[in-house]
Amino acid sequence: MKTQVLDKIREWVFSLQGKFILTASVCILIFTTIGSMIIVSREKNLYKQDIVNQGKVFAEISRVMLTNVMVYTELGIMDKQDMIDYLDYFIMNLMERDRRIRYVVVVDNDGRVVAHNKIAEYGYGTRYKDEALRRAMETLQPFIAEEYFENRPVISIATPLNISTKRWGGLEIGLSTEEVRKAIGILKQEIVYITVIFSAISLLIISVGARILSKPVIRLSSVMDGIKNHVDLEHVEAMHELPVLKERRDEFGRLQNSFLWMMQRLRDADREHKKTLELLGQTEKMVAIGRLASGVAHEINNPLGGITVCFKNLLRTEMDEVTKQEHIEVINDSLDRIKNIVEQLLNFSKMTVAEKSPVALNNLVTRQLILLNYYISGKDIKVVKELSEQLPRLELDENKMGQVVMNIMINAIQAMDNGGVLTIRTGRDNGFCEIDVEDTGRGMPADIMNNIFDPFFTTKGTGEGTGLGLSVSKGIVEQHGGIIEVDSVVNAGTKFRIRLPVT
Amino acid sequence: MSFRCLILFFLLVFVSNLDAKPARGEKAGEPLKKVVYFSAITLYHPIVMYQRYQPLMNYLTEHTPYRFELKLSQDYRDIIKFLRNGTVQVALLGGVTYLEAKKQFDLRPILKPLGHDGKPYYKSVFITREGNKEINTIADLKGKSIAFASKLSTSGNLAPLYHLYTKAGIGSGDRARYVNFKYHDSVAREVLRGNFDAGAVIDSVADRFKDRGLKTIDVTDPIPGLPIVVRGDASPELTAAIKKALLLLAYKNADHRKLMEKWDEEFKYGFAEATDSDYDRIREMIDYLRRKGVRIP
Repeated sequence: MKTQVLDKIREWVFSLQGKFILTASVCILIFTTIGSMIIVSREKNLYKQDIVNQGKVFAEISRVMLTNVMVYTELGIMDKQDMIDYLDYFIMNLMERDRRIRYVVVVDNDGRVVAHNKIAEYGYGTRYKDEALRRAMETLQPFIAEEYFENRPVISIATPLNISTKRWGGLEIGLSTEEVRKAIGILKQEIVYITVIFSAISLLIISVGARILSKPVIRLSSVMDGIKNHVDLEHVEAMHELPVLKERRDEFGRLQNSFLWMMQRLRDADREHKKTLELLGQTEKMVAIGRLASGVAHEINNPLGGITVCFKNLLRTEMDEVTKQEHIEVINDSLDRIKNIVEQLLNFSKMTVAEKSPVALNNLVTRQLILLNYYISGKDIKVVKELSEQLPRLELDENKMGQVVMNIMINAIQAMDNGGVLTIRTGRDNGFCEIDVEDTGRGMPADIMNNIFDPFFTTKGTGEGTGLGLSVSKGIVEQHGGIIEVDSVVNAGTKFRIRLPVT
Repeated sequence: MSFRCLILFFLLVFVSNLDAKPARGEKAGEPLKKVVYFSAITLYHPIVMYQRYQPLMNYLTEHTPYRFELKLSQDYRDIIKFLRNGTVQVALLGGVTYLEAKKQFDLRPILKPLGHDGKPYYKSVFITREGNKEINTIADLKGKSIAFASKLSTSGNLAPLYHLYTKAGIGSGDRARYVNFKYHDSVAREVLRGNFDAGAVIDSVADRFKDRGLKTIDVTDPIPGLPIVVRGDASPELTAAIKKALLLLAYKNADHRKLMEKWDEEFKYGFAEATDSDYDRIREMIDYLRRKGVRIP
């Protein structure tokens, strides 16, 4: 189950659709991530700049106001308690007005607290150590620093309380950046949501697009799968009319056209191949006839001898009507025999157009054996027939299949120079009809057996064999949707099996 | 008309427009209301006083035929001066301030604020730093430094002194140091800073500093509410208008409460009519302390 799922995933990943979706997903992910990072970074800077600017405004206004208070106190317009009260109220008001202000501290020139929002912790005169405040008072310029106050992030804006070089101390305001962080956090969250939603929508569109794009390829592939044999190839013209291969202007249109063109070329090549096979078959047939010729000649010679004697007797000897009639009958019988032999040979040798008809395999085999008998005569070979009676008729090109059987039987006889047993067997097995041709000859070693179906491969001497017999036989059997198998043991014999599908 | 005259003309138009701008509570086109100056004892720093008392002025302006202007001063004595010379016509005083002023000229209390319990009283509270383990009761204040509000303050000076004498037997000689500050919250902050061991403030201020590191040691007996006074020669229309506008308010009424929530703690629960005899208790406390050798004011 797990393997099946893995296989399906693997198949999807390597499919055009899968690759397209994966590539698009990776691109979307990379681009959205980079885009989001840029946006977040920009927003972060803007937020930070904004809070710094606000802090600067607070600090500048406070500086002006507090400097006035310092002057009034120095002039005696306000006493010290008034000043402290004022500073306390000022700080309280400031913090009430903006909740982001985490702390406000006013120090004198010695860095001692004059007022602090945390009255109880930072009483009047407490030593206050802060780097930002120290630098602001030293340089008489505002100083901004990012710090932590009570473990929370703040931006500290320190400013001196001065008029020109006359100084009264310094002021520091701590503005919480937690809201900025929260805002950035929310922004990040929003961007993540938007990215996820947009990526999902994009992927959905891409998936649909990929499916639409890959559809013509799948359809083309199913059309390709539909071409199973030579007959389907012959219908290539009709493919142009198929709705799945309707004309397109895009790259798939080009692919379809290329496919149809390739199919046409394949069909042409197939036709050429067929023609060549026919020619080779005919040539091979002639070779077989040549091999049969001596036996046939011998077979014709016998009745011909009888005819000659009968004619001589008829012409030279006086005989009664009965004897004459007997002679004429012998002549007639002999002529019939010769006629039969010649007819069989002609039948075997004639060029036939490929046409199939219902054929009884046993009859086909028997007919070939009659011809073969002419070839066997004089050899110490016993023919054993084991023909099954349960065979259906098969749609075959009888002439060609006869040639195959004959070719294999001649090979078997040639393998038994010193005599032997030729067993011809027919049978049925699992949707196939079988013809076995088994000899008890010298057999073949494995290296030869591997090559016997190759064209022009022969173990016979020059001029004895073309090397095309088995190659042509294999081609004919395959044209009928069958297979040809061989099994051989050296010095024990060889068995060829032709398996033809029951149609 | 020369160019300079033209500019002068525009400036005059601009300035007169500024003057004609209606105050809050007045509608444009209506005749200008008569201005009534209202003063109050400076319980807090003037900045806070303006923030907390201006809403009351707005309310009075909206609900009476007068325009009320808040006029503050640096301390309690100035307010008496303002009332005497007619600079202000109405004022929110403390009990002691009222009695002090009453001695000098004719003055009438007309209203007194209610407390959160609906009664026309408030209290004075003794406070110290939360971390101060030495001071837990009024008796612990013996020999300690104590901060008080103004010498004329009832809840910040008179009532706590009276309480110290009567409840703990602590007289002026039993205190290490005592200082009077102008405002009640100055007292609270000074205690918080650790400059004084303890302090005495009005209950509303003690309440406000409760979460900032101060604890309560003791609370005085109820003190008659701060009187809103008018000069003896104040027009009956003005008195009636103020009384009508303020007595109308009921804290229990949701609409009124919504408005009063923004007011100062001292008068946000409404008002009751006041009479001179309400402050007899203050007179008794002053007399008691005088007998003990403490002069108020």
